[in-house]
Parts: sequence; structure tokens; C-alpha cells
Amino acid sequence: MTDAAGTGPPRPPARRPPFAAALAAVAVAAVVLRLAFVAVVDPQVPEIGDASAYRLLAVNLAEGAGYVRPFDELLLGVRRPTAEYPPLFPALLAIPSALGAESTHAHRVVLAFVGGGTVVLLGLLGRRIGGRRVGIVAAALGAAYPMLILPEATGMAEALYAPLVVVVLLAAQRAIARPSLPAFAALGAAAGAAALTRAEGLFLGAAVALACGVAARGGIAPARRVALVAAAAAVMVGCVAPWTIRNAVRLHAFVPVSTNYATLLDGANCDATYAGEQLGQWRETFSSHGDAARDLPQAQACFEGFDVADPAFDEAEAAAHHRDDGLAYARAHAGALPKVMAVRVARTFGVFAPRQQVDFESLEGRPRAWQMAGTVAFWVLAPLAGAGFVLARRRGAAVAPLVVTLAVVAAVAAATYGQQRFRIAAEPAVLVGAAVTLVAAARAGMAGPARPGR
Amino acid sequence: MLWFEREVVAALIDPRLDASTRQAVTDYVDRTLRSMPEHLRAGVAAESLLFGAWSRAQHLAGRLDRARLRTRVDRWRRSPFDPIRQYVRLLESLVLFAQHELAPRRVAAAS
Repeated sequence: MTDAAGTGPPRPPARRPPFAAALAAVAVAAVVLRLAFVAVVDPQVPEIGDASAYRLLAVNLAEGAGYVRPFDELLLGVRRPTAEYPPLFPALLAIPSALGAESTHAHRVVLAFVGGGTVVLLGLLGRRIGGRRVGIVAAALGAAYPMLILPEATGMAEALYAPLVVVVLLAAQRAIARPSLPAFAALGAAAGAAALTRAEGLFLGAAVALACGVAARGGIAPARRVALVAAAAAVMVGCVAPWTIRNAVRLHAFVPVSTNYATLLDGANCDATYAGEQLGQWRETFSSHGDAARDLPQAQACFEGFDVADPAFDEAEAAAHHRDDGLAYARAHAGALPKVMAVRVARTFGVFAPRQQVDFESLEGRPRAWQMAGTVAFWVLAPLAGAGFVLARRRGAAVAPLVVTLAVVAAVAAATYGQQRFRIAAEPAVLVGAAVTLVAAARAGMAGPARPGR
Repeated sequence: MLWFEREVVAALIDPRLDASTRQAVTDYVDRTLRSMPEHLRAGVAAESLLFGAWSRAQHLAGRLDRARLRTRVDRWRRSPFDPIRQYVRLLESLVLFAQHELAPRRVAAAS
């Protein structure tokens, strides 16, 4: 190697910090940024909402009250078993709660460190896809990406779901490179944990396992591929099964992970969300109509709330009722579904009425400006990610599981409603894909323009 | 009571009973299962979910109806695996008790 003029002595190779040290530095920066965000921005979550429910579920668990409906306990003093929310995230928050750190603020501090872990995992995934530099750039992008920071700062389950999705993708890389029963079993276990955090993890796990079965290297026989995918699925189901059995015992109904999907279907399938400015969104009517909402037909009722004051209230029965209402409306308006589903997907990817979408999403406690910053960041990163997937594929990297996360997010959004929070399963893939492109662009920039004759 | 338990109970009830008595028997089994100690109920629920998942898949594929389920339950009665035999025995004993306790009472009340 010579200097620019080609006349000087050979330059010693530049010393780069080891990958682990660089990744640790990025992770520390990520934690500091998250703690600063919590201290300075201090997002306020609604007292009745998902984030508050997670905190109360965790506190109840820590106090030995069991997994009970949080607001029934808080407002009515009634302890009813629940499966409205999957258990893993409240179980995580129950650990600091049991040690006395049970406030919203304390939980957010804990989740800042979880966010640091997510950044480390992103770095490892990036390294698997495109090498060390891609790993560090992916981690750095993740450290500053508002769509990862906001769930942690508002105490939402996506804060745990994101790292678990990255673990699923890391396990998928291993399963593709060295297909074996233990590798696919590990993939199934990671997917099971993800499913116990957000129910759509079941679909994600199944889709990623299938992609791994198809993409697995080493010229293995089709029957062996089927067996490996089946093993991953069996382990995933085995991980979820104890929770499903618990639900059968406590709720006397078959609830694989959560009853929340019924609420989703109910609020997403009504007149207000099939046309007009709330097309493709989710709508509740109990806050405007009170108990009278339950007397309205589904077309006007959307999600009319639960009659928790009824002493005979049964969560599983109520969920079945709401599910049936939503599905009946969807079936009766099947002609409108393609348009509604397309808008749901577009909203989830931040490209349909983004300002209105951000306003809607800020109702959950995410500061509007930061939610918009995250939306714009996604607009920048998504095309870079697309190019990154192509580049990585050409270099022989296994990008199928990453692309599958985007497909699963689109499918889940189409079946539920438009919400950027639901994109969380695809964010790691987007960050890693964008990192591949940025590193390739930096390399091309350092190499300089090609000179004629050289 | 879970879907599969309801199906097995329906298969075990004496087909000569009228609809309201069948419902009364089903309700009795439901109440009894609900009042079981949770650690015992968990085992029964686990078996119901396991058998139910397979049966549900066959049911959706049109390969399992109530008559075939009755044949299958008969086979489980003679299964070499004790937990399977005990599963059928538990539900059958509840059904038989309810039939003998409830059916004559309902007949007497009707007459």
C-alpha cells in the first residue's frame, strides 16, 4: 500500500477497535440516550391504556395477586383472571416491581437497559448479514431510531418484542447456515418467547421457520426440511402451551395466547373504519357513548368496551362476542375489504395520511414530534433497506427471514388495523438492510470515482 | 368446558335422552370441571388441548364427525396409555353420574 501519490513508504493498516468493544460503546450510548429521553422528554402515558395495564399486571404479579384484569382490580376491586395481554412482558416488569421498583419511571429505566440489549443484538445480526461494519452501523441506527426508543420510553410490550424478534432472526441465520434439529429447536424456542410477548409472534415464528426450511443450505432432502420446520413449530407450540393450558384452566376457554385480538377485530370492523377519515384505523365508542354504546349495532358501535361492572362478566365470553361482531361485519362488507386492508397496511408503513396517523398514535403517550421523527426516519431507512437486501443477497447472505418479517407485518396489519407500532417486527430487518447499503455506499465513496484507464 | 371436552361429552351421553336432559348433563360436567382443583384441571385441560388440536384439524378436513369420535373414544377406553384411559374415564364417570342423578329427577318432575 502506498500514499495517495504512490511514492511514500507503505502506510501501516489503520487500527480498528475490536467489534465487541465498538458494539459495547454503541450499546452504552444507546442506554444513555434512552435514559436522557426518559428524563428530558418524559412521555406521559394514559392512565387507562395498554402501558398502564402492563405496569399494573406486573405489580399484581409481583405482589402475588396473580395475572388478573388490571383495571377491574383498580377500579372495582374485583380480581378476575385475564389473558387480555400475553404474559412475558408483564413478567419481565414484575422482576423490578418485586424488588420495589414498580413506578412507571422505574420500569422505563429498566426498559432503557433492555433497549441497550436490543442494540447489541442488532449489531450481532448485522454482522451475520454483512460483516463487522454493517453490525456496528445497524447497532448505531438502532441506538438512535425513535421507533425503538418510543416503546421503551412508554412501557409498551414492543420494547421486549423487538429484541426477541432479533433473537429469532439470529436463530434463523444459524438454522439456515447449519441446518440441524437443535438449530431449528432454538428458532422455535425464540419464536415461542416472542409469541408470549405479542401474539402475532406465532405467525412470525411459523413464517420464519418456513423460510429457513426453504433456504437451509447443505443440499438436504425435502423430507428433512419438512421435519426441521415441524420441529421448530413443535418447540414453539411447546413454549406457548403452558400458558394456553393456564388460560383453559382459569378462563374455561381455548385462548392460545391472548383475547386481545377480539378487541382488535371489533374496533377495526365498523362503518367508521371502512370509510371516511378513519379508514383503516381502530375505533372505540365507549368513551363517547358510555354504556349506551353496547346497544348500538356493530356498524356504529365499533369496540363498545367491556361491561366489567356485570358480576357475571367473563373475559373469554366477551372476547368471543366482540370477535364474532367484528368478523360478521367484515363478512357482510367483504367487497370493501381489499381497499380497507390496503389502507391498513399503508398506515402501518407510515405512507397513508401520515400526519393524521401520527396524531392517532400519539394518543398512546408517544410524543407527537418524536413519533413524526420516527415516521420520517422510516421513510429514509426503508428504501435503503430494500437496496441493502438486494446487495446482501448478491453477496450470498440469507435475507429471506428478514424479508419475511416485512411480509408478516403487512399480513398482520391487513387483518387488524393500521398502526406503526405493529411494524416493530420488521424494524430490525429495516435497520440491518439500511446498514448494508450505508456501508456499501461508504466503501464506494472511499474508493473514489473510477478513473478512465485504471 | 373446552370445545373438545364438549364433543367427547356429547359422544358419551346416552343418545336416547332428550335435548334438555342432554343439556343438563353437559352443564353438570361443565360445572364439575370448573370446580376441580386447578392443578388437576390443568392436566385434563392439557389432554383436551392436545387431543382437541388433532381432532379439530381432522374435523376441519371433514375426516372426523360425532359418530367417528364415538368410535375413537371407545378405542381410547382400551388405550395402553393410562393417562388416555383416565381421561375418558373421568368424563364418562361424570356423564354417567349426571345421567343417573339428573335424568330420573327430570322425568319425575315432568310426570
